[in-house]
Amino acid sequence: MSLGSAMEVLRRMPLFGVLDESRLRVVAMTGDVLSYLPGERIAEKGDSGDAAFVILEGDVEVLIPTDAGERRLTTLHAGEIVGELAVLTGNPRNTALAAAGEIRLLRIEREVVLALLREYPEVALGVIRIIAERLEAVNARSA
Amino acid sequence: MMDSDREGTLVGFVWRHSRREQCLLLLLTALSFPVVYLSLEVPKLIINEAISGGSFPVRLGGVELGRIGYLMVLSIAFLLLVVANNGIKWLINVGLGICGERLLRRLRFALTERVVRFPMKRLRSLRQGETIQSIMGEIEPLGGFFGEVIVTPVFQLGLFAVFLGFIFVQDVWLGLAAVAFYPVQTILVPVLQARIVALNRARAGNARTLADRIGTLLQLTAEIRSHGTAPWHLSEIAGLLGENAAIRERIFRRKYTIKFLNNFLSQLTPFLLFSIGGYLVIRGALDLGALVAVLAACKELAGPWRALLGYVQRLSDFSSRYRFVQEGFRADGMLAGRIVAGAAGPALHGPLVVEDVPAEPPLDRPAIPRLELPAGGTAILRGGNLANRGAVLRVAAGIDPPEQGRVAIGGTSLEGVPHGAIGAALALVPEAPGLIPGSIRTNLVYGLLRRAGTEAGTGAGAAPGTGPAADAAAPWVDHAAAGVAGPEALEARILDLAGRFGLAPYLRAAAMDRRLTAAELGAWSGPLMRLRHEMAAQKAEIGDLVEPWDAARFNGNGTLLANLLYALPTAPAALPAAYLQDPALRGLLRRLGADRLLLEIGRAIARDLAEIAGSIGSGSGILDRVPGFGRQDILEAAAILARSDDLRRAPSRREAAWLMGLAANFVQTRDKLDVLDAAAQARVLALRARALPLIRGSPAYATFDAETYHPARTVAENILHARRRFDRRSAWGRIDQAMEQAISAQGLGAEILRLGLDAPVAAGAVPAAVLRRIALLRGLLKRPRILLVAVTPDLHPDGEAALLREIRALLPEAALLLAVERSGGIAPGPATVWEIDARGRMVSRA
Repeated sequence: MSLGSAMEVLRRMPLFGVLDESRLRVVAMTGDVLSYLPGERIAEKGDSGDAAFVILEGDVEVLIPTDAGERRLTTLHAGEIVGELAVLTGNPRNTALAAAGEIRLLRIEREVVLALLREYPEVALGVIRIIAERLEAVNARSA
Repeated sequence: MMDSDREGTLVGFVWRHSRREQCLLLLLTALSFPVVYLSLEVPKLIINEAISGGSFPVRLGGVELGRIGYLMVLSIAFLLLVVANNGIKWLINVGLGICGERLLRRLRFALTERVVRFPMKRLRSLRQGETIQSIMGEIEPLGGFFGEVIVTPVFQLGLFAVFLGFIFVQDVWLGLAAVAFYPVQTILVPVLQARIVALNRARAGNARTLADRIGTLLQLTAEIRSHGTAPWHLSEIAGLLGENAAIRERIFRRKYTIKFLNNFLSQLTPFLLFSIGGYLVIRGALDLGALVAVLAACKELAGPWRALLGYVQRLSDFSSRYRFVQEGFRADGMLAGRIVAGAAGPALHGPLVVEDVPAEPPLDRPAIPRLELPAGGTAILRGGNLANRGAVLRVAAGIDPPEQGRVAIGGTSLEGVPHGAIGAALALVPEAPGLIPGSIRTNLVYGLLRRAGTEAGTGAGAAPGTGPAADAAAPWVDHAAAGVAGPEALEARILDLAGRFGLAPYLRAAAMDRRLTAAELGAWSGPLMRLRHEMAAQKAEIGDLVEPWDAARFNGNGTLLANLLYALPTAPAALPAAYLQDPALRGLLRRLGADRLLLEIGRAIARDLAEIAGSIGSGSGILDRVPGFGRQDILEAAAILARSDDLRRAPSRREAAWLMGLAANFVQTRDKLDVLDAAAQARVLALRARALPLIRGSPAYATFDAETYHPARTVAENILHARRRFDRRSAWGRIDQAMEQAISAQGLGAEILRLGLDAPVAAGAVPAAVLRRIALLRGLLKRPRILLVAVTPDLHPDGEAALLREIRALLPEAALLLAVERSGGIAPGPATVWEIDARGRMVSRA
């Protein structure tokens, strides 16, 4: 996948869409574009949160182990980010990730994510917004 | 006392070790004197008799000659004399050079051999940098002087005597006038020279300290970077360099003062000859012809005199340097030569006993009242810290002999026992073992390297090529000590041990990462090509992970340079950009017009990188995290764009070369930048089509054709013969598994491990656990009767209990001492336990 295509996906994301072209280019350049085949594992529960993933193409299943085997928690789609919480907390991942079909991801290392948050406050605000939304969703579910 | 310990003075050293050569050179020197005298006499005959004489014909050897014939005969004789004189000089000079180099080699060897015999106390205080500087840099100039120590004074004095004799034959009084000032110089020069000698000594001391400080700078990288103390070190080095320059300046001043005095006093001689001789000629007391002849001879006289003065200067300088170096290589308690020289010693059998050894806090050594290791017994040494346990192991191994107490094997005290005899009986596996420069194999068989019967190789000034072979080849490897019949059996044993102790995966990885040498290509390219075919057959398993090379297709996972050439030079380089430094390759790219494409792509990449730099600033940590490009690349790209007005101005030659290098390294899937669209890829393929006919068949390049082994690529790259897809790196493990399966399918598992044995190793490039396992195998291979091991958790992949089990299986009758932090990991069974208690004493917990 070319840099332009990756930037196109980033541009449509609320998290990165606030960045100008040159900053978007930096984000795209600092990640590795990775491809996965259907069913391939991207991360396991308990892995260190050493990277976040931006889904460029395809769907990613978020899986959680249960007594009856693995259960799909949710499916994330192109233009979504996953793994950012583990990156921020430094804690091991609490879910596993697997490719739902042929997919492409932009893998951004933890140090780069943290550096981007330091350099680009608008991205930091975006991440806070995502976390708040997820918290709200959890609260709504538990209520 | 060894021969090398008796070197008194420099002249004595030269005479002792080159008596025969010196006599031969003196003989040649003596031969040259009549030739020199005749070469002075014949011109006189030509002028006085052949040109100015009146009685012709003359009879010469029964032949009557007229004036012209006589002139021609004398001229040819003169020519022959000149040739003979220069021929003898050539012989003398070559002899001097060879003799000097041989003596320099001998001196270096003798000094190195003395270091080997230093007592541990001296070795602990040894400054590595200073020692290297002494052995290499400091005595280097002596090589040019050794040969001439005896011959030069004899030769120059002889020449001086010949010229002086010639002058005295013309006129005694003028002769006396000609030498009148030489006694003054003879007295004055040594006085002035003495100060230079002292300064040279100071300079040598300064150079040693400097070498040591630079060595420290390299060793303490972690400390220097973590504390930010580079400026302090650099300031210290700057001070030493300044001191060095100041000393050298003082040396120059004095040296040229002496030269000035010498020149001045030399010119006083013609002054005397002109004034007194002229006065005598005017008064009619002296013939003008005689005065002119003497003046000419005086000029000749100056040559040997200058040479003699120079010789005296060098002799005093180098003698002082020689003494200074020799002083640095003496120590009290030097080991006897036979202890280190491989002399036969007693066969040591029986229990190892260490007793009455007092504590030595500076060495972290606890008191050892008594430690006994019976043959076949296992003992655990625990407690204390790592340094405490290491100190006990070193004492027990006879490496660090205590000043009080006793270390003995089977009742024989180790004091004075040759190291070879101790090494045959005992092996120590320290916690931080050393790495021998060479291959993994060299490091493994190191404990078996024994002299093959003779003392050749350690005698001072041994003949060239008698040093230890760099590898396991006979005659240095003692196969009998390993209990094997020859190299093949030894290799099989090494591989067996590598499997038992978890070294095999490292050997396999080392084999895969290495490049074959030209000598290995013949034997290995066949099996490796078989593996390539095997891998090609596994397309279904790894087809999604690699991009094979195809002459008709652009490879998005290959570098742009590799894509342009569909080949790479056969000489390995770290990065493709490094290849562009080769003028032949640059010429090829220019002929193809590929240089323009590279520059174009390089500019496009630079623009994108400069944009990145512009949006985050040069201090950002993000610059270190851009895949495919380093911080320096990004900042340099930004700087070039700034200098060239956003590339509107043509880049300089250096900048253009850099931009082309940037493009040469570019890998589309890894580096992501959109600089190689379909049209550009088509241009690359068109250029490739023109390049291939020029490259195929050239020994400088190897193509990516299916049947070509590429010597510049690693074994793994050659087997795979495809580029790993960067976007599939999360699944690259499957490629390695497939490669292992292919190796197994072809029955080449052991062969690949053998290839790994010959992989070069370098200090700092081997993981500590691997290094410790190598040291363990090094000890086990020689089947010691006593094995002392500093146990670390990583010494065996299955843990400490497995380690003890394997060692015991291999050495059922050996005495084992295992030093551990806590003995929990090892079930001691019937083992004796020794513990270093809180008071720093070793006590038995049996």
